[in-house]
Amino acid sequence: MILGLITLLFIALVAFGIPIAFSIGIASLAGIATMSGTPNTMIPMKMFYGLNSYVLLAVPLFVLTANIMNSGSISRRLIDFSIALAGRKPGGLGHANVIVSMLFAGVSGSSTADTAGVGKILIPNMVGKGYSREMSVGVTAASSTIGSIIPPSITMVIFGGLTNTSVGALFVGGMLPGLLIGFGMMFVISRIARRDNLPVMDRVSRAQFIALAKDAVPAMITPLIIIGGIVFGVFTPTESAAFSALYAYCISAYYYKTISFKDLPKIFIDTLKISSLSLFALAAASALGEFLGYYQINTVVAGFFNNLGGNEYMFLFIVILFFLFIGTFMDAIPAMVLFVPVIYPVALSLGIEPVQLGVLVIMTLSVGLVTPPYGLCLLIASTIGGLPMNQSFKAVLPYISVIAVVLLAVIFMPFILLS
Amino acid sequence: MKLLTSIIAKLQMTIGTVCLVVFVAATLIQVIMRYIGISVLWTEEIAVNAFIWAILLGAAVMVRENAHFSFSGITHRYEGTKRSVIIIVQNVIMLVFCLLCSIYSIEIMQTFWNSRWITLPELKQGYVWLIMPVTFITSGIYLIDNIYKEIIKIKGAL
Repeated sequence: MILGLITLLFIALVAFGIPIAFSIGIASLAGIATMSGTPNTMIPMKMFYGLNSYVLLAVPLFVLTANIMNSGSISRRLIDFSIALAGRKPGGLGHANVIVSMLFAGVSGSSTADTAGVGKILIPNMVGKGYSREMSVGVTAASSTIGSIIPPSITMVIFGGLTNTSVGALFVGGMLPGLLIGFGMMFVISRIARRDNLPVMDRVSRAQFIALAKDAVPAMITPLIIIGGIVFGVFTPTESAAFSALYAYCISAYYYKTISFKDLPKIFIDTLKISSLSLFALAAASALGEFLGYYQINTVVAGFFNNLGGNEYMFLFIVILFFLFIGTFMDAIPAMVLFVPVIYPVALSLGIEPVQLGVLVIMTLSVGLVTPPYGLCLLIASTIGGLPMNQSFKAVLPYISVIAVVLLAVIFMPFILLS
Repeated sequence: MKLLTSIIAKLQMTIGTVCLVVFVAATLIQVIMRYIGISVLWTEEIAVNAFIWAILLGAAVMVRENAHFSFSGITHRYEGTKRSVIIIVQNVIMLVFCLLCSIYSIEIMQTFWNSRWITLPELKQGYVWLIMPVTFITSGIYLIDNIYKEIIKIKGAL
């Protein structure tokens, strides 16, 4: 009864436009007030302890890396290199769009930064070269979803923080599914290219290719520092994030010479603003966790799944459908902050590996980035391409089907998670 | 009021940025020291505490900028005075929450005030817990400013 009322209160607050972090906080306060013997000081205490985790430091550090890279002209360099790499294939600019998203994912870990950075350059370029607006917007938006799957991924750090799952294992787990999605999207593009007779780009000379590669390679080393450092035990995820930020500054300032020391205050302020939004929501959710634990919500959810037969596959399918629905109107981080603590213990009781659950949840929520009404990547790409949302959504559907196939692969072939 | 909130926000962003620099530096020092064989225990505790301060200061400033994740559908459905009234009600609800949490935060800060850091026992935990009342009190100030702005808008429309 109390659980139902608090849930209704939360929904009402969110629907009324109260920020999600505050809605969580208010619902937690109301919930904790009903718990006998629990003081209300539990709210600030739990919020404080929710942030008191070393692994969460990786979130602002990865945002910092992305902001430093984006302040330079890294998108342009990665795009030029990708076009040189794949431009000669039919539909080459589409392939280059996917490749640059995979490279960008390894550098920034932010899907929206990818759509904005790459879209501004590639969408007009593709349209100018004879690609349809639908194709240009669709492939740009859809390929950006790879950003949260290929490491480093901010959503993976949040999942790790919420569940005490190894962030390193999640990073490794996201690598192959992310690459499979990228190559799957390139397969779709090659089919469309054959059907629509899409153009190829001019040949790039060997000397030009080497020059472009030389320009792009320093940025492409960033994921090697992060993943290599974690896998070989050189760094913890947080330390790797700090070193990737330092590396990003060094190459941007001394190799590309695109930023200087005086640009740093603005970069730090932007980093602080972006990071505080998701992490404040996470802090508030820690307070909610106390309330949910008291009323044993996990037991209620577990009982529901046991009544359905306690099948792990059924559980995973329901989780995917649920997060697909949630992702259409909620950002990935608040969605995870709210629901992962509820489903995680149930998944463990069904014998599901935390990394498998994490990668599935993150992949599913990445689809939300390209589905209306809250698909930020779709919104950005539609705006750049001057295409209505409904047409843009139709254009991303073939690529969503690729993500769906890889989701099935992660469910039935968890060995692709390499953990 | 505008001047007051802009001074507080600027101060918070400056301190937040310094905290961000401190925890980046502490994390880098931790790795470097480990590889040159010098054991430093305090870096992680400093990094985490600076991180908590940075994030909560940033979160308070985001209240001023109305930037926290929210569904803006109901707000954008209306125009003029009606919209202002909705924004005022939203801000009042958040303000009540912030006021209550300010009181609870002061209580919890007092509880932990004389506890000591684990690796730097000369420092009091109270300095770290101080961020909780700072966050909620300054968020409250920003919310009052937001409400005031909307009231001015309504008065202008009448």
